[in-house]
Amino acid sequence: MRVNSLVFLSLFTLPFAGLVQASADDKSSLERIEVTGEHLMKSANYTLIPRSDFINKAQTLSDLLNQINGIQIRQISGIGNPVAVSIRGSSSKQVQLYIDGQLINDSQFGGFDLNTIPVEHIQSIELSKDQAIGTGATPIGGVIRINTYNAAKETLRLSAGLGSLGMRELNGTKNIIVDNGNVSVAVSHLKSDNDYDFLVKQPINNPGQSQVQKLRNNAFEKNTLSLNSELRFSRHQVRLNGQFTKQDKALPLYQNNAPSNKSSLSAEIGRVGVNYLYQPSTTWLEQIEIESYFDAKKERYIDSIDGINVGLARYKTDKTNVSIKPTILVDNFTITPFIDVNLQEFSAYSAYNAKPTSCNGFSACDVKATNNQWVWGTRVDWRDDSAPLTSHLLISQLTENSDNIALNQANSKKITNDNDFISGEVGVSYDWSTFTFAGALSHGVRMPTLFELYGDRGLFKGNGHLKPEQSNAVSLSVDYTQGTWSLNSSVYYKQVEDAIVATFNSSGIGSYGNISDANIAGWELQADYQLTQDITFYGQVNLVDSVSKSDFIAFNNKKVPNIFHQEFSAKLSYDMNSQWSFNINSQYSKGLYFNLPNTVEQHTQGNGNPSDRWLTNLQANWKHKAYSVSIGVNNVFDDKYQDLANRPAQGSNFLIKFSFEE
Amino acid sequence: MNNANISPFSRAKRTALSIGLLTTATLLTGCDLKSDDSPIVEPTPRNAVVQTIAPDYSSSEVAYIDFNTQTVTGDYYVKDKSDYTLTSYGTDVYHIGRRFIDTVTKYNSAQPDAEVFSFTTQDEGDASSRNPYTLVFANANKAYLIRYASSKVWVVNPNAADQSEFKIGELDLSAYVPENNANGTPSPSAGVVVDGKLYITMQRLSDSFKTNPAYVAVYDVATDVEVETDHNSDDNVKGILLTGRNPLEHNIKAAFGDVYITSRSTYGNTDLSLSMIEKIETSDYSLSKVLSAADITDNVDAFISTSEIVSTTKGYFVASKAGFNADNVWTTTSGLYEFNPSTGAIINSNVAETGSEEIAFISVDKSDFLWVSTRTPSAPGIDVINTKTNTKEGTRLLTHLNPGTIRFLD
Repeated sequence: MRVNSLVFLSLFTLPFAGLVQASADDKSSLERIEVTGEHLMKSANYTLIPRSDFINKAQTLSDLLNQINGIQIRQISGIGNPVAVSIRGSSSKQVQLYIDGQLINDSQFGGFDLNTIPVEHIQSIELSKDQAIGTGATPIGGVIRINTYNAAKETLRLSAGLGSLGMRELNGTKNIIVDNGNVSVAVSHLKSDNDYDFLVKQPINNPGQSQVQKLRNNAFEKNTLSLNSELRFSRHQVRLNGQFTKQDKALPLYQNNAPSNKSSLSAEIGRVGVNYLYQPSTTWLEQIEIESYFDAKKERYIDSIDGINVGLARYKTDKTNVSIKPTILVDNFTITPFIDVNLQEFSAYSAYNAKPTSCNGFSACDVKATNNQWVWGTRVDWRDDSAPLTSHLLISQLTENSDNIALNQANSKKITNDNDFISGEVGVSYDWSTFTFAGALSHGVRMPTLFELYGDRGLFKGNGHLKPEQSNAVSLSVDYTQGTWSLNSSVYYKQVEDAIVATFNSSGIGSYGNISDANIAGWELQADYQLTQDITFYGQVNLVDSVSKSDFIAFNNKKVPNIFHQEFSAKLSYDMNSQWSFNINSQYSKGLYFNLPNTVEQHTQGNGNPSDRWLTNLQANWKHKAYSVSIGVNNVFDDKYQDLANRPAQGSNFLIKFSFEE
Repeated sequence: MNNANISPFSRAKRTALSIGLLTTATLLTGCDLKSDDSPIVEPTPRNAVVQTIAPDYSSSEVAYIDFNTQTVTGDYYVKDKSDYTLTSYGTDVYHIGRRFIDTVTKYNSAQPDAEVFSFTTQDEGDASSRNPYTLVFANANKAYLIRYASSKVWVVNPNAADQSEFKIGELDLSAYVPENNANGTPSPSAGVVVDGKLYITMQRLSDSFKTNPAYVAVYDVATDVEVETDHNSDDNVKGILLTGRNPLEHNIKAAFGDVYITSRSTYGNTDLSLSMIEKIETSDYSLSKVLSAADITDNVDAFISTSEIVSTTKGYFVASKAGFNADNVWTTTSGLYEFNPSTGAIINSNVAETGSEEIAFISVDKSDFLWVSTRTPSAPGIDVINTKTNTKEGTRLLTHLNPGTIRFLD
């Protein structure tokens, strides 16, 4: 990983050898080549969150996204722990995460780390429900696209944060304008002890008596370095970006909180990307965009409960991506054919007490798996010159070839699999007076992950016959803005087919299968009202109805799990003066089931269904010239509810953030 | 089956028993024993309690079954985890939470909602889960808690008023821990008490879950001292070396004074001969093979998972195999076979129209009805088979989740 760090640092420093000095006194804003056609690619289900909306706030990316209607965020308590994202009733795997155009979802397990980029390193966040952003395969849930920090003017920003449970962070970002572009550097350090009070069911010193204890071995540390640069030469623009992250997460033993537990998961991740944009002088070829990314991740998992016996697993994931997108103008049409090529390679190595584990058909084997994915298609945007009417059509062909081989097995055979799918979407938007009406149809896909296809080559069997999960969705929305009012109402209906679920026989041998379908219908309402010049009210209602269908009686006619079926939130924002602002946000979420059979184990805490939660968050912000302070308190009333892992959530927490920005 | 090792005393005891049974049978058929004019009441299946588990292992619950009214009452002991099993004694039900649950919770079938106690099965200082597998009763006031991830078997008081009274002793199985197991457990999986002796099967898995030769340890329940069986002069342990590999949970049974052990064989292994039913003569601890999966006609891939003994000439075993079905779902199919425990002969296959569904558990009640947990996705439930006719009694008792362990209630 050190060699890779030097490689991508070199990529940034060498091209600028003759450029940096010229920019020393130039503080003007950066003039960029406008990426035309992008404004046509926004659809009714699309939201853009600019940096200014979140940068000086004491909140995480999860806190921010959870405020978007239709998006539900649940987390295992503690900074650095897994976060699940659901968009309009989807599972987390059905949501695509992009960073600067690179798809982050990994092929092996299908997930992504939402908090992979610190908030300070983000320029903007784009969200799309049920549809792609721009080009690419249409997802079932939606897309979250994080655009990394790339300021248009010279800046220096420093920030520091302190919070509950030993949380502390330091951030620095610097943007330098050079003759033909800019260079941005961002560094972040985040640490948290995560030692919240937890009801330990069987404390190691007295397993017969449950006791509230500070959770041991739950600390998290993360260091991130991001680099961005943009260069312009006449009609050419080149953007380089890269990121290096090193993080360590200790893994607690919730059942007995044993001090001997030394389990942990650490990772080193390096990303390098280049984006080239060319705008020729022709009238028909608007631009050609070529992007390429390389991403290398190394993880080390240590399983050592007693501190004596040590299970070790190392995982390595390499991803390479290349995409080409020319944009063609024909009358009122903007046509963007595209091709994306994604190559991923995953390998696993495991040992127990320093001895390599054997691949014996029972325990998980060391494997090497590769996935080659091609996505090609065309997006067509159309705008009416005489009326405020726009529409788009996107069709994508997705083809995957994958293979898997057990590394520590004699005479191991390589297993291969092919899959392909056509996804598509169409959308239309019409402005009339103060209303905007929009509708969209989409046929989305989630391809099976490598783990679902190949299993662990031990007792968890692969299923090479798995079909992709697919969905058909329709949505209608209306936006109304008039004076002090802003209303948005959306209804949607989604049919999900061939949901991939793991089932097990009585011996504990399992496999994934296309086990169930589901119908999901929802209504989202966002109402914003400016009560006075200083006070604004924001209200949200999110109602979901779902029903599953399966030949498995245990899964049939049930509610889709892991989504809140009712969410209500109200937020009051008060700008007291030019320096002070406050907001209070209260969200009530209910109707969540932790599992497909919808069984509910009653706990001693909780509001009826133990997953129900009522979270009230407070924010106070102070800003004066270049300085700002933000104080945030989450779950002010310390509501008790079960977190993503169905364990008691950590409770109230606070964060204070100090910032300086030139 | 080889009778050469049976002692003269044992043979005499069996002969006397057989004569006694023959006499009784003659008297019964010769005349009506009832002193009044009431018709003879045919035995009926018992009441039972069943552990059910979600197919995705996300949750579990327990169902009480009344066969006579054909009712299944579920939603008892609903849990967000699935690694649970059951033991019963009289009218008491013991709900055992296994790996990283580590609890035994007691109920009574007269008031199934009322928890009598819930105790941990971890010792102080236990960082790893000891994974309790089953409770084996010596009598109403003494039981043995077999813990899969520990070499220590707890001796417990099943009527304890609080945690401090629950554990009253320990048995030490550490002599059976294999060298390639750094976690210090011989993987004890099941136990049974017969004639004042406790028999415990041990899988003896390595750290990578490979099976080592399996053993049965024998303890005197009056003294909790291990019995020297003198079974194998080549080893330095007191227990009985099995031929079969990987005796699973619930697979040691006492029947007619003997002990029967069913071994599945190592997962991933294709050798059917190590999947077998063996018998231990309790009189001298001699071991004999009853039959193996290789004895099943035309069988190439089905392994024996469990067995039950109804009489000295009638028993049943389940042989299962797994693969993808026509809908590309990983599916296990099981056949129920009838066999003769005395001769090892396999008499019938796919008894009572089995052979196309998965059988997770079988158990014989005191009325000699065979209860079968059948895990068909669209219709999971319990089939009750009349062992006299090998046909199903009534219709399948449907459960919401997949049925597993069945225990009977007085």
